[in-house]
Amino acid sequence: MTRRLQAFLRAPSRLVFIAGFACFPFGSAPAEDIKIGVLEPFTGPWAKNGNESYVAMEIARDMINEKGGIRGDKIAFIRGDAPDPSAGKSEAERIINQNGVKLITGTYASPLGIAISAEAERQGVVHWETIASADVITKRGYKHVFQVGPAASRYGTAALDFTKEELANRLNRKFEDLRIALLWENRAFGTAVGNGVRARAKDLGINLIFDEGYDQFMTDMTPLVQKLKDARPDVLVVISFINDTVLLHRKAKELDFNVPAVIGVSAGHSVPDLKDSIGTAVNGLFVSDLPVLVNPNSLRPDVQAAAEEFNKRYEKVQRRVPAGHAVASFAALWTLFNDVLPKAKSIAPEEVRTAALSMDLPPGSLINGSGLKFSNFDLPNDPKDAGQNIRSSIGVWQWQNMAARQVYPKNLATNEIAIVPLPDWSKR
Amino acid sequence: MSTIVQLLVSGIMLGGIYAVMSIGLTLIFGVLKIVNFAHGEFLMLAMYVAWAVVSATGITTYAAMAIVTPLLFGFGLLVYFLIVRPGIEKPHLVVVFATMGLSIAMQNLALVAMTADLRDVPPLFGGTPIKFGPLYFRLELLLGFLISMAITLALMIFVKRTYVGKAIRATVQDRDAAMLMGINVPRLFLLTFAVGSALVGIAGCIMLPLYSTFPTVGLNFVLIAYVVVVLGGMGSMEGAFLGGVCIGIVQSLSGYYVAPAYGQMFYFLVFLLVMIFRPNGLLGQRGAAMVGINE
Amino acid sequence: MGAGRIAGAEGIQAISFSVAPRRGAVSIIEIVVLASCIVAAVVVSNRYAVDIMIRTFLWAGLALAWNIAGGYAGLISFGHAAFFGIGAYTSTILLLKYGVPPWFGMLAGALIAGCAGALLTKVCARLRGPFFILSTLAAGEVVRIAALNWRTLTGGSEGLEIPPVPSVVDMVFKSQWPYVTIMVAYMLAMFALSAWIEQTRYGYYLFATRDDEDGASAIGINPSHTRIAAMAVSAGTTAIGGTLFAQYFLYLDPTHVISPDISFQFALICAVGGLGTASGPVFGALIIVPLSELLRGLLSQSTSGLHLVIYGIIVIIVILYFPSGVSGAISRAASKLSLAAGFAARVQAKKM
Repeated sequence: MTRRLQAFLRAPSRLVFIAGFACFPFGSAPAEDIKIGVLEPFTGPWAKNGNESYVAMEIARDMINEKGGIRGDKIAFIRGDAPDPSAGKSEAERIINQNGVKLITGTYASPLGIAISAEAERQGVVHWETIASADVITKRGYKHVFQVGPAASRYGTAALDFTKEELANRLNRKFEDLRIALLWENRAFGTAVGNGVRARAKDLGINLIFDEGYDQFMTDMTPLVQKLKDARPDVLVVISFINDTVLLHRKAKELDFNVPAVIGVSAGHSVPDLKDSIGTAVNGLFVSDLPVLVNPNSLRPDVQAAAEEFNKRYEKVQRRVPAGHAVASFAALWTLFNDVLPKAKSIAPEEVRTAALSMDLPPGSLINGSGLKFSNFDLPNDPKDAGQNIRSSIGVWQWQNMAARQVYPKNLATNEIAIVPLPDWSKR
Repeated sequence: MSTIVQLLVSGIMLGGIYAVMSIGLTLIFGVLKIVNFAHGEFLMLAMYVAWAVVSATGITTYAAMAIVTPLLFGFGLLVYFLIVRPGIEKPHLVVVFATMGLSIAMQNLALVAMTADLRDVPPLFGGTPIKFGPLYFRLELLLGFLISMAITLALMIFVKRTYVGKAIRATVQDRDAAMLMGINVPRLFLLTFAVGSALVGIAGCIMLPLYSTFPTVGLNFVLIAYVVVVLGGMGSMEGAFLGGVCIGIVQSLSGYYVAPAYGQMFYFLVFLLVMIFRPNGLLGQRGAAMVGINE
Repeated sequence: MGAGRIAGAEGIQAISFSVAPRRGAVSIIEIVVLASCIVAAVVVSNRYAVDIMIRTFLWAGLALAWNIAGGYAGLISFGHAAFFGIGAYTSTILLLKYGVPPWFGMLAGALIAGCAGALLTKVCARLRGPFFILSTLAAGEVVRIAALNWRTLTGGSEGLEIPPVPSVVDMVFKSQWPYVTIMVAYMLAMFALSAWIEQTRYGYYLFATRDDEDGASAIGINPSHTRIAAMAVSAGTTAIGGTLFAQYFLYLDPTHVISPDISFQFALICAVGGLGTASGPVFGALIIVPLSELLRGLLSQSTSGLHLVIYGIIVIIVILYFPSGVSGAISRAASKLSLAAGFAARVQAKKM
């Protein structure tokens, strides 16, 4: 390259650098807006979930601003990209200090939730965790961290309880005789849910006939599926992310691995795009997850209206139905904007905390069927726990006709359970 | 019994696919003696382009090769002129880091342009496998393996019989001597890099039916590619094929008999063992690992 | 460039100084830059800026540690995150399980990492160039996967959290100042170590081994021992940085701590700043860390991923046009300046 070209190219990089310095503070909002920091993984391996969650959150913000905001003040978001815990911490630091934010939300994944909530507590701001499920998030004695979604252990519990209450008789077996296999991806969520399943199995007095973790970079499912085939399970409980889920089911079809019931736990199985990747093979799969579309009768009327509006707007923007994490993100923010913040005297952390702790909303108050009541060092079997939403809902839905249909628990269900046992591949 | 045969057959066929993904890399590595850290992103690009062609026209990915391969060839030329050539006379690390920057930029360009959604193509026969006795495998897996073998054979013949092929072998052995013998090494570098990229284009077409593409898909495969290349021997076509098959088998057997949670650990350990005891790889130049690169 | 000598009191080795960065001498530019860092650490109070400074100084120290193996000994390692992780996890596990203060825990971590580094180098003794690089990458990944699966020891993918209870003994602080001080101290200590290595016999052995192994052994240097020692020191000092990281971030998990991205970052900082000089990693960190933080802060309001596209492009441009890094560029600029100054002086003299 010529010298002139080299010099020309050197200039822009310097410009960007200088421009960066000149731009304190980053992100701006009109003075009277309520600024809320949103930390999600916008890049990196969780980018899809982070971006979709953010779209859902924006809808919540727009809807509340159209209603006049909170006592006349509009909500404004300041974004922070948190692809990994230390970047998340840095972004939280920036948003809290540069933008004077008093409330942050996010974060989707457990490592992010753990690190970012710790930073929030350190700085004395409220962290409103939407989805990250690590049990430890609420067990550190923090006063300003609120976990709206369920803890990881409950995802697995729901799967096993569902199996006991609904699947066993449909498979014409006694629950204790069922051969149950557990497959989990070995990152934080998969491991935590796996632990929950294992613990619940022990409580219920059953043995898992198969219990394997696998690495996220697995490019070949052959050995796993072959192992599962040899184990001949009746029920497969699997926690996998989107790419692995696609590979798993394709390989199951390829190797002719047939199992009467599959319960995917959140993550890969709950994503609407799954049907684009594996087609009609989705039908019949159960998903233990944050509910997506619940029985309208189980929701408070204004919440049902919000749910319908949300689904309408989300499908317009994303051209597909919202996944569990999108619904949960909206649900968590909508209740914050609609129920909690109006009750708080201001956005100051202590006021928000007081308002949050005073919440006593019955199930059906959030669009996914959850209620809202936080622990406050007062749980009988866990006095160290604070900030956990003990009324967060977890249910099981089923892919029917290429769409998500809630089937459990009964009060949230919109449809009956179908397609049990799953037909063999040759008949699908 | 049928289990182990299934594992071996699947592993071997997958290994063939790892080979075709790595064969471009071994060419580049062998001739230019550079580490291209964006190799995974080249594969990602190839898969996206293949997806785009298939979605737009409805032809199969195998037919799409006719379009994807020249496009990747062109992309290789572009990257060579902009990034590789300015760095090649400088210390080796320059190209390493420049390609690392390229890798970051490409991953995130894909994120910006295509979002993080998974992109797939419809499977042949709806994904129903071929049944061969007790064995099951998808047609795309078999096709991929056969194409990989064909390409390896073609390249082997090319490298042994043609003038350019001999020039390549000479440059792999000793760049300076090759120059002294009248080989236009700079032009050979250009050709090799572009051809290596084109080969990644073929790999992308073969892999798309088997793996969805998304911006960070390259990360799943780039380390495998390097392990295969070094295992097989830098610059050796048949080495890349053999290396790929070995890794495929190791992955398959270790996943079944040991623990899938350890995933890649096994072939990294295999890699390290080969490095300790046979550093030139299975079929590579003797002494290559000890000479390293001329700086 | 002039090189002045300052003879210290009896018993202290003479330190050579110079104007611009060059190997074997501490340059005035380096002193100015380091002094500015210290001043900034004291003066700046904006929390976000201080957070960036803490990271910058920590990464500078870590890059200096990497440089001992990568720059001075020519052992380019892309698996250093393993040593980083060993340091972070060792001190953290000792703290959480046995209450051992990290001040001691980090020494344990350094020892283990040093042994691991020595072992790795011994095992890969015959490998050169890309083969060595890829072997270190593979070794690093092996350590990551082991840490991920050895849940009883490391907590697996759920990670380990250090309770944010301020305590000097446990190296946890509420305010940022102690952290800034510790990180600056780490950076200065690593800089001093690097400068010292450059000016002593040991440095001479390292550079000789790196540049011409056969020549070096011909004059009696044992290349193998030299390399092993260099890697051991590099690994041990990286591990100390790992402990400091753990004590600031208070959360570790194998995927994000023992990752190839972190290994690449060490090497990238040295490459951008200038391999093989003590100042290179410092300059590199001063550029790379604030740049990536600012880009992310500036651009993440809009399109996801845009800041990384720009970051990647900047890396490409900087690496291609400053192959000896920033310190190399400064040296060349300084020598041109002094040539020009000398020329101008002579012209003046002639006129008079």
